[in-house]
Order: sequence, then structure tokens, then C-alpha cells
Amino acid sequence: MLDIKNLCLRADSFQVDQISFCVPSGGCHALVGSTGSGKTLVLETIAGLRKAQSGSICWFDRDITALPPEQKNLAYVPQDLALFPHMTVRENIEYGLRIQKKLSSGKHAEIDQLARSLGITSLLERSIKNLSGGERQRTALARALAPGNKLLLLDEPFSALHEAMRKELWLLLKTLQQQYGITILIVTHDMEEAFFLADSVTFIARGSVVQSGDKMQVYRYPHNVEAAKFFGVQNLFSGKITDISADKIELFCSCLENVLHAANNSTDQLQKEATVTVGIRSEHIILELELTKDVRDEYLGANQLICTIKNIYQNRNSKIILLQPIGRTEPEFILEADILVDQFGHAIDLVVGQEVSILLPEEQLFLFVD
Amino acid sequence: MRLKQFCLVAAFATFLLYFVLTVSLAYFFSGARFWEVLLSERMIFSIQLSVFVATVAMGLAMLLAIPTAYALSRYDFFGKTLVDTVLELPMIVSPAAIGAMLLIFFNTPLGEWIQNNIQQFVFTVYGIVLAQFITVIGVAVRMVKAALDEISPRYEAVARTLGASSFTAFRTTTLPLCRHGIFAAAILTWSKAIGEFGATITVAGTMAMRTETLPVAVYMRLAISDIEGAVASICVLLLIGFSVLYIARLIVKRGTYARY
Repeated sequence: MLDIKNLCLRADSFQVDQISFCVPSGGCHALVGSTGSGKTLVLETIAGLRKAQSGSICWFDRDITALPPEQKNLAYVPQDLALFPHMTVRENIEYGLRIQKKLSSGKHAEIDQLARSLGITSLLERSIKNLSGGERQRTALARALAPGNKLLLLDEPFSALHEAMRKELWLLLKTLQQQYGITILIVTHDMEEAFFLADSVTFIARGSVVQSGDKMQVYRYPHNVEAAKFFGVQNLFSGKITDISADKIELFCSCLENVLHAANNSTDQLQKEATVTVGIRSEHIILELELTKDVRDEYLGANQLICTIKNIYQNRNSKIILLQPIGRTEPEFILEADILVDQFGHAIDLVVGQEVSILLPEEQLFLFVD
Repeated sequence: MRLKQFCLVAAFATFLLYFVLTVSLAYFFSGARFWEVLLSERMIFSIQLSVFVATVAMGLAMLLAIPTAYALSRYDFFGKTLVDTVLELPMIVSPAAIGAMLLIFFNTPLGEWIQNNIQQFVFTVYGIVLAQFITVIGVAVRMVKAALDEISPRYEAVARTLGASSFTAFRTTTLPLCRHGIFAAAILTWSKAIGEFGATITVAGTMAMRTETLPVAVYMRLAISDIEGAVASICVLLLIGFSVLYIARLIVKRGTYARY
């Protein structure tokens, strides 16, 4: 098990504070966060390429915090891969074993097996210069895994690849993880990558851990606005609590000029009159009906709004719809809804300028204390 | 005038400047005198001495330049800017001034002690090596640093995570990757050393068959109005200089791994 406790480090004026998380043996943990959040610094410190100011890094109860990189026995793949350009693919893969003087005939067979697993057997005698992006990734993985280390640190290794290749390598990485019993710590800002590969995630912002835990728990229950934004809560607006009961919270949202009801499942201590940030994922907004002038003045239920469609963007399997609530006071306030296209590729017929009724389901609203 | 035309004219004018200077040697060139001077014992001594001291000075300079350049390229340390600035000394102070500074140093108690107990430098071949070394070390560091800066430190970082010590990581990744740059730096350092005059003459003087390097030979022949002899010496110097520079250009042209 990889156990990081209260890790602190500094790089120029940037400070990373009190980072703690655990990666169980054979598991995959993702360090996620925006660019410049400090996640790469944490990974480099674990790899021994930077010095920790305080805290501890333990790998199977062995404190490796102060050890130089060559004594940590871990595998590391940086973002730029750093394949040695003056060596062939085979020489790159064998580098670790050759340096450690462990390159025996048995190891040659293991390397051939590893190359087969990664599908690069035919490339072994090729120069690094002539490899494609995917082949370079596979070579970098093979080089990191060849010495037999069981902890693999990956720093956004697939960010430069196109989607199909990236997904192919995700599957390959999962297979390798099972085949070789590797524990993986991956740094990424790609949510899809983190959720595909990892069992648990740690969200870092401005050098501090915001939230850490099971990936679905973190996704479903972001702790604050920053985490909510990162984990895909696109619609965030302010509201004031007007009433609280055991299971329900009533809020007035000036930007909507409307009262909303939210389920009272927030972990924050919410109080009446408190200002909160309300959030809802775009895929949770429900388009209810197409409005006509006749029904416009009819009664609208709780959490229902009438909006004008400002723009429609076609996604691969959904439509992103930008909605402007009618009667709102903030001129630029826009809600974003994500409407799934059905299996035949059809979605509801919508046009820009059309007025629609939307529902913000109360159980899907997030409330964050400001 | 377009930028391209302006630049091409400037390039041609620069070439013409050196070309006219070189061709003007032909006015005083005498084939018979050239061979006579070239095959003379004094000229052969000058060539041997020049090649020997320049090679030793270059070797010493590179030995010190590689770790110095590595420190400047890879690490942040207290006084880095100061060290970096002081390395420009040979470029901002004339070689004669550097020679004078060396002479002044050897007249201090420490310098005198070194002269008396370790090695006599003033008016000796050792003095020539020292003068050339001091003159070229700054250039050597600059060039090696430029070569190292082109190589990503990430190679060494990855090599270390694969089990290599810091020195092994440098030896097996950065060093082979910038070998062309280091070799080119060595050749250019050598060519600067072989053409060095001001510091050499100040420290080692003008003693025929003792401290007479090729540039000193040119000066000594001019001093006695032996123009044809001076031209012959200049031709030898040009031949050696251009040969090594041409080799350096070929090496640099073969490219580096910086783009990876």
C-alpha cells in the first residue's frame, strides 16, 4: 500500500500543503485537479525528484520519503515520456535492468513477454525517432515496468494522444495492472481518464487536497464549489435560504427570480438566511414541455422555470442547450442543459429562440455554503 | 529594400571584409619563402608548441567547463548570477589585460609562493597553458552550457527512477545526447586557444624556440619587418584554424537530440 501522510513541499513560491491519501496494493488512484494545482509536484516528490519539506511517503510500511529516486524501486512515466532518443526501443526498455546489472537471459525472456503484452515486439530494434505517439507510450510503459517495480507513477501519460488511442491504452493499462499486480498512481486533469482507470481520486486545488475518496462518492458529493466545477457541475448560481425543514430547504435565487426547493442532504451546516451557491449538473436539468402562449401563464410547479433557448450545440450523444430564464434580472445568466440523444440519434426537436419549461429536480441540487 | 535583401547584403559585406583581408596576404606571399619558413626548425617548433599548449589548455578547460556548465544549467544556487557574470571576464577584458592580471597575481605573496614551490609559470610553457586556459574557459563554459540547455533534464530524472545514480544518469543520457555540442565546444575552444596572443605574450614573453607560439611568431616576424615570413606564419595559422572550424561545423550540422 502507498501511504502519503501530510506531505508538504515547495517549488519557488508555490506551496503544496498537507497532502494525504492512500492507494491500496493493486489499486489505481488518480490525482486530479486543474493545471497548476500542484498534482505533478506531488507525483515528482513521491518519485524522489523533489524533496519533501515534511510528511511521509510509505510503500508497504517502508518509509521512502528521503530516499533518492534510484533507491525507491518505483516506475515513473513523465508527461513527455522522455524516451532516450539515442537508444533503440529495446535499449530503452532494458535500460533499468542494464544499469542495475540485472540483465540476464531470463530477463531477456521477461522483456520479450512484456513487449508482447504491450504489442511492441516488432518495434524492439527500431529507433525511438521513428515511433508513433501510441508506440512511444507503449515503449515508455514497457521501460517503466521492465525492472519489475510494482508501483507505477503516471504523469498525464496519454494527454497527447487522440481519443481512440487513449482509450485503447487505458484498456491496455488495466490489463497490465491485473497481469503484473501493479499499484498505479496517475496524475490527470481528464475526468474521463480518471474515472475509467482509477478506483479512488484525490482532488487537489492550489496545492491542497480539497476532497479524496471513492471516485463515485467524490463525483456525487463534491465538497465545495471548486470541486463541483471540476467534477462537472456546470450550473452554479447563488441563493439565499428562506426556510429549512428536516428534509427540505427552500431558497430564493435572485438570478432566477424564483424560489427553489432542495433536498436537505448537505453535509454543511446550513442556516436560515445563509447565502449559498446552488449547483446542478447540466444532464440533470429536465426539459418538460414545449411552451405556447396559452400555457405560459398557467401554474408552474416547484423548481420549474420558463426559459428561452439561446443556443444549441450538438455533442456526440447529446445536445448542449443554453437556456436563459425568462424574467431573470442578471442579463448574462445562462443555464446549460445536456439532453441525451436517443439510440437512433434523435433528440427532441428544439430551435433557438424557442421557449421551454425546465425542471431542476430538488434531489439533484447541490448547496455549498459561501 | 526588403529585409531579406538587406540581410543578404550585410552577410555578403561581412564575408567580403574577411575575404579581402585573407586575399591581401597573396600580395606578399612568396612560395619559396613559404616553404622555407614552414620547414624551418623554428616554425616546426612553433607549430608543435601551439598545437600542444592549445590541446592541453582545451583539455583542462573542458574538464572544468563540463561540471561548471552543468551546475549553471541544472541547479539554482546562491551566487549563480555572480558566477555566470564573472565567466564573461575573458570576453569583457582584453587578453593582454588578463595576461597582466596573471603577472600581477604572480607578484603577490600567494603567486610568488606558487612560483617558488609548485610551478614556475612566468616566461615558461606552463605560463602559456595557464594564459590560454584562463582566456578560453569562459567560452568553453558558455558553449557547453548551451549544449546542456538543449537537453531536457527529464531524461536524467527518468534514468534515476530506473535505478541509475545521478552520475550514471548523466553519463548514459545527457552526455551522449549532447556529445556533438560538447565536441564542437572543445574544437572551438581549441581554435580560440591556438590563436591566443595577448595573454600569452604578456605572461610568457617572446622567446624564440621557447615560448614562440604561432601568433607570437607572426608578431616577432613583423617586429623585424619579415613580412613574407609573417605571411607564411599567418597562412599556417589560417590553415589550422579553418580546418578545425570546418570539422566543428560538420559536427554541429549533424544535429543534436535537442528536439526530442
